[in-house]
Amino acid sequence: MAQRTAFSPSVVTPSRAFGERFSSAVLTVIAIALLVMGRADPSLVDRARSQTADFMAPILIVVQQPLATIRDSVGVTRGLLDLAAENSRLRLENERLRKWEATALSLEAQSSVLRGMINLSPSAPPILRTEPVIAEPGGLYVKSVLIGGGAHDGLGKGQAAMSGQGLVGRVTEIGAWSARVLLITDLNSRIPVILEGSRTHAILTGDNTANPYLMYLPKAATVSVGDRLVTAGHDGVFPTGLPVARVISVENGEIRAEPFADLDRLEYVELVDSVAQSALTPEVAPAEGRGFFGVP
Amino acid sequence: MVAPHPTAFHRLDQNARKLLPVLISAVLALAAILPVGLPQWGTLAPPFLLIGVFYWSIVRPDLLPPTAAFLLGLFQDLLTGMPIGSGALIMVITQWTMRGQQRYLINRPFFLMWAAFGPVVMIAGVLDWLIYALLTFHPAPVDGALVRMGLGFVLFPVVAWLILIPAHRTLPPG
Repeated sequence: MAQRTAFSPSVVTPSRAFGERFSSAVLTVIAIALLVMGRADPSLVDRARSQTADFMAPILIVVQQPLATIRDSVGVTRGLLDLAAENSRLRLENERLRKWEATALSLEAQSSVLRGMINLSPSAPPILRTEPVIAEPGGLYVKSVLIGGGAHDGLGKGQAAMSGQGLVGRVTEIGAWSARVLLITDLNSRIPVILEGSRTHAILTGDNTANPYLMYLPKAATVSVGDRLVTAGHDGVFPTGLPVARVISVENGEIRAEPFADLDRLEYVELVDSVAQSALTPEVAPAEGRGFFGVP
Repeated sequence: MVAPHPTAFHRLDQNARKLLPVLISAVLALAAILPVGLPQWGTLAPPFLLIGVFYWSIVRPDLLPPTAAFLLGLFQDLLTGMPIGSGALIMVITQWTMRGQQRYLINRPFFLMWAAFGPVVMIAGVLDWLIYALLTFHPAPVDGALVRMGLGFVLFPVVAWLILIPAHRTLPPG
């Protein structure tokens, strides 16, 4: 620890020292003014943010490549180590999912027939775009990610962002080449949801912790641990039925849920267009002719 | 014999080197938001920019003037989504405080500088927390802030030895 930082101190003349003190004081005042202004006119700040993100996006995307390679190779090494265990786990899961697939398909077919009976127009399949997460900014107080696609790629404000397992958040700022997705755990996130079993409506509210809580739940509603929450869609922004979270604790009237998506390790997000009505992705659809939405 | 005049290239090189403190600080600000694939990284990424601004304000305040500290803080605010002005305020105050401490910290054992970073990172964390609480009327949990600041303190020598001190050696004298 005896290492010394052997550098000469820079010489500062009194007039320069005064100038620096003066500019520090002025800049401190400007910073405070910015804090107040940003609060008063958030749209101006939003524009400045998306322009900065747009400007940095190419750099972040380029840096992303080697990072992804490192992440992947760590993943591959780890995967090789427990290949056998993973294989048997996947075999079991595959078997289980096949049963679910059969159930899903028969329900989808049934639902289409029922829709046909009441003359409900068939819903359009979700329009998905997959964009890489190029930055995880935010630190402690803001839960958001920057993605490498923007208005030029057809993205728009308010679109829902999903990962494989569930809702991640929604697009809140949109630039030409980048966009910011506010995660469902952020303090400012409010997602109208339905408890899947009882069809009770509530608002899933973020508070910067890992597990958001339910607000505006009817008093008579019964909620139990394990209940699934899906998007209600009546905000006119999100499609209905996107999986969001699972209730993990009901204590003293506070109901907390755990997001299905792993928000700590987002690499890609799928953007769902707001006209989309179904949460089932085409990958699950059977190959031979019988589409989800094609049944009369 | 006439002393050789510095060539245009030499002058260009020297001036470019003078930009290093600001450039390195900007890269440090970016490093904190890159998705490195570690769990909770987005939340707990240490305050790398603060490390940069702290170091350069002590060793070369002439190359990281108050305006540069302000702009770097603003850049961080714009990128991270934190309230605009909070990072700028913290960086300006850090630069202001630390450039006055030069004579106590320069040419002293490294661990003195490291020890001085302790209170700085703590005060920055408290300011950050306070600004956010005042603007949103929502007291954020403190545990995450503590971990983040602790990580910043622990990683200070790593960042200093790997990046800041080597870069400092290449700078032309002030």
